[in-house]
Amino acid sequence: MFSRSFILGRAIANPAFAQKIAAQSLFSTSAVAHKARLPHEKLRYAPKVSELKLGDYTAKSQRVGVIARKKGMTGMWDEWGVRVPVTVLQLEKVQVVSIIKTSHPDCARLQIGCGVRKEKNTSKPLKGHYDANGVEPKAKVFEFPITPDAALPVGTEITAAHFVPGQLVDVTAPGLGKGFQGVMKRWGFSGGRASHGNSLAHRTPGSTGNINPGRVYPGKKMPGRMGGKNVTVIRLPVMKVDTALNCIWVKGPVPGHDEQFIKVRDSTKLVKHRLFPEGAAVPFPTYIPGQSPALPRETIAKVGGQDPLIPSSD
Amino acid sequence: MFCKQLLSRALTRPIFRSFSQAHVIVPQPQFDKPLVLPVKKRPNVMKVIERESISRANVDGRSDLFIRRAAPRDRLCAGDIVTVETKNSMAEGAATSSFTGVCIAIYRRGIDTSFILRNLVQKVGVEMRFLAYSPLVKRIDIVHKGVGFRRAKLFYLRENPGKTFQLKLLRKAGK
Repeated sequence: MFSRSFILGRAIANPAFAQKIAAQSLFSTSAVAHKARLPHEKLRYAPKVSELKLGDYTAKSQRVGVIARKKGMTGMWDEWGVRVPVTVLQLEKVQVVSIIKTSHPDCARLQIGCGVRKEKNTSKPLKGHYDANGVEPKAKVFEFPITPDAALPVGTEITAAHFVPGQLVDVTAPGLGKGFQGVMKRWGFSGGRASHGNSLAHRTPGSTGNINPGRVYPGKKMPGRMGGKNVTVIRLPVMKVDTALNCIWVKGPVPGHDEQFIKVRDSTKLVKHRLFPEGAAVPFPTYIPGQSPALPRETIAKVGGQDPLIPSSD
Repeated sequence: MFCKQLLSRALTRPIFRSFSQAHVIVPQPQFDKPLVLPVKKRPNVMKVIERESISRANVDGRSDLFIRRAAPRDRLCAGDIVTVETKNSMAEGAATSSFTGVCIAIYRRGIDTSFILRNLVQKVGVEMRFLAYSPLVKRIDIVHKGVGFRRAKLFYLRENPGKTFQLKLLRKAGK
């Protein structure tokens, strides 16, 4: 930003300024120089987690999320006999790949990897990154923000038991691509009349502006490529956790096609005490096979509430 | 009131490995190992789930009615006269409802397998679609095997019932 000649000129004109610049130089060892950090010398924080042990879940904690694969949809019946459509999300060798260094000690981020990638398909820079962390090459890698108390050591495997049946999750994935679509499908325009003399304008956008300013605004809704963007569906209940097949069943549809990588995390946009069912033991920071209580192979969420098939007494 | 009763009932149910938490149900029977066909090396998760779900829902052998390759006398066919008894709710001692009719369609969709029964109720045609593996469906009985039906879907009966709904058996079974 400031050219050398500018600084030199100022230094010559003002000896005090020259001294200040000298004190701030890289090679100066004075205390003044190290206080003001240069851009590439920013402080980086990362929680140091050497061993994996259970902790206490608090209302302010945010656990790590998971990358799962959408396997398909099926149906199940809850305890009231009501059919619930569910999406099966399978966790495939989900591990903590690295702990990201952030700019503030209150912020922590974990890099989570999922799946398997052949060595020959992994680029050298990525291979170096995986080797440095002692992890097999992963097919998909994402970061998740967490609170420092939920940090996990590198290489920890996260299984389906990380989730509690009945909890709410947010799922993020690219939605299905719809290709080049017209304005009626893409933006929900009404189109034109079907008959009564309408000429060739049944699905057109109609007018695109006014006589003033006499141009079309940037961002005007027009036909174009639709879909394929990241979509987050929030507050989906986890209906079932299967520890043998390592999958969770979430209620309802999930964006994207089958075999897609889905980011799953504990819901954030809700009143915190609604996240987990009452009385549930939250595996924090995750489910640790040796330390957490043993689980049966399959656990199904209890929906609770009143029996919907019995007419209420009102 | 009902919730408390159901909760206490759930907690006193046979539990697996001393596991009991108020907010979860452990489905019975437990399959410790996933039901995978022995020849399969890499099982498809959805197939395993379908097999286990049907195995669990198949309490009274009703899945034999929907095996496509079984002999017509053993399986449910379009044209059979069927009586279905359904529970009105999952509460213990809940009343049951019964419906009899000619099976006009069968949809084999794994756990979502369903069939449609048609009957004339007080001169009004009524069709009811039942999900075979729903916990609310208590019993499926074939009262009489259909004879002379040559289609998989008998939707033509809506316009041309012929003598199908005049059968003595249909009226008798409905009572």
